[in-house]
Amino acid sequence: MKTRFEILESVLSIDDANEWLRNEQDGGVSLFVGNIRSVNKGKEVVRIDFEAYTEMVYSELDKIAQSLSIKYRIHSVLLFHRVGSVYPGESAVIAGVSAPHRKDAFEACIELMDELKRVVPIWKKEVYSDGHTWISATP
Amino acid sequence: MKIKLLAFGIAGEIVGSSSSVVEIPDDADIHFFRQYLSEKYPALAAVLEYAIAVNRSYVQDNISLKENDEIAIIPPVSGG
Repeated sequence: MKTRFEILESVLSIDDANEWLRNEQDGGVSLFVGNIRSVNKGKEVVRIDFEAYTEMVYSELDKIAQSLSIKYRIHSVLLFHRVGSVYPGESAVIAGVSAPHRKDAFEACIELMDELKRVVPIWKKEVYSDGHTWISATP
Repeated sequence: MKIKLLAFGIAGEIVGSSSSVVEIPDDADIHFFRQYLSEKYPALAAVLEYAIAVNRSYVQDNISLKENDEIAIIPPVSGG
C-alpha cells in the first residue's frame, strides 16, 4: 500500500489527488472533499484558521492507513489538509482511497475521515465578525 | 529536568505560547504533569478531557517522563 499525506498552506488540488490515486490495479477511487460553510450553527463564518501538530499528523495518519489496509482491500490512501486561514467555499480537506472494488474504497474513505476527526491533531478556529471559537474546544 | 511543552488550539491561547521549556521533578509522570498544568493554568479545566502526547504519540497518565521529552497538550481535535 502507498500513502501520501500533506499539510498545506495553499489551495488543495482534487486533480492532483485523483491523478495520484488512479492506477491500473484499482477499479475505484473514492474521494471526499470537505469545504468551508459560510454559516455554522446560525453564525456567519468569516474564515476558519486551522492549526496542526504537523509531525504528529503524519504519524497518526500512518497508523490510520495501516489499520485501514488490514480492514479493507485497498492500495492507496491520500489526505491533503489545509492549515492557516481558509475561507467559505474553499476546500479544507481532501481524503481519498483507491481499491480494486468500490465498497472497500467508499468504506475506507469514510473511516479515514472519521478517524481524522477523532484522533488527528488538527484544530479549527471559527472566526466571526465579532470574535472566534475553537471548535470542540469547550462544552 | 527540562521538557519541551507544546500547546495547541485553545490550549495555546491559555498557556500563552505554543512552545516553551518547562522544569519539572525528575520522577514526574503524566499524572503529575496534568496536576502541574491545572495549578499553573486553571483555565485549562474548561478544555474538556484534553489528551497528552509524548514525543508525538498519545499516552496514558501512568507514563513516566524523561529529560527533553516533547509533551503536547492536545485539546479535542477538530480537523476536516
